[in-house]
Amino acid sequence: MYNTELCNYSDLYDNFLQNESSRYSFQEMTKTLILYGALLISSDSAFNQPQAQVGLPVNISGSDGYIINHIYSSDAPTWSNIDTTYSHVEDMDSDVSETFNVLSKLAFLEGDAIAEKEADQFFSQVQVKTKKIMVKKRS
Amino acid sequence: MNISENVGRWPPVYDFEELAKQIKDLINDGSIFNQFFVSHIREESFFQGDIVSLKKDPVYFDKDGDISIIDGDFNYWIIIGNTCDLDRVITPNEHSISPHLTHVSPLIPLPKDTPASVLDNLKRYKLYKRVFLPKWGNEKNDFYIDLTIINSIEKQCLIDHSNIAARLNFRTWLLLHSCLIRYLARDDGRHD
Repeated sequence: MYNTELCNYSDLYDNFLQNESSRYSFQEMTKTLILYGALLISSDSAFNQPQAQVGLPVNISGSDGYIINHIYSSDAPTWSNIDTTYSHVEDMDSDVSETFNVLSKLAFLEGDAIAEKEADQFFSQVQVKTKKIMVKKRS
Repeated sequence: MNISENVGRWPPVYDFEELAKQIKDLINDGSIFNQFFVSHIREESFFQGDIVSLKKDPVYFDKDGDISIIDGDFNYWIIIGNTCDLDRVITPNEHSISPHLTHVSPLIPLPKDTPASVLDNLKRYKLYKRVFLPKWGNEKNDFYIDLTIINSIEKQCLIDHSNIAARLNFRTWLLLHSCLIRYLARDDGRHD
């Protein structure tokens, strides 16, 4: 999820200032600013920025027993401000089996290994002409 | 879940088990071949599954690390790059943020002497690597694509140097999409 997809009142306020101000009178602008202020305070969003958290299993130093938690704070302007933490995963086996279950659902068009082999044998006999292209090699 | 051929974003396959069953049924009774392609191509935009006329040879790295071509009779290619990427507007300044390349695979004419059993498996989409595509219009030969042969192509090349020869309909696009997922997401046999 990118920060551009996160909706917060600051963005609304920025949009309001940049795009809409010329269309409103000073009185209407003041009314709207008061409304936005009330919304910000009532929602606590001005003080408590929500966080989006993404967990990605990756190998660290050859081990597959760790998960990197990428914590994204919505007040961070870009992904470069992501904090990274590490935690050991005890039941990695169950996670892996669940992943394989999902994959088996994906491959609903069941392949056939014997049919594949038969096709490979046939198509490997079909003569394929190839030729090299002369390209300038990098030094 | 409601889906529509004409409204909204076409969904990824893996959310649609019922539709998967429907496709399986279509393949089993052969009816999917009655209308594999749309009858009229109304738009000029390119979509995943479009077959374009482009007389080029597939390029690959050979055993010596050199660039080689497969010197064959390839008049058509199928776009297997994602439609979302195809649909993005190309401007010179956007090359770094909007992909200006997509993927295509050549349509290979099916050999006349293809054994009946291989042909049957192709038409029942039992093969991982090869996807059957029937002839259309005035074409006299059926085709298949070999998913081990995939080339990158600039989108601008599609726009300037190719024409759309045929377009998949919703069900047959879903079939291609499923085959792509199966090819890339199938189980790993490194310990077989």
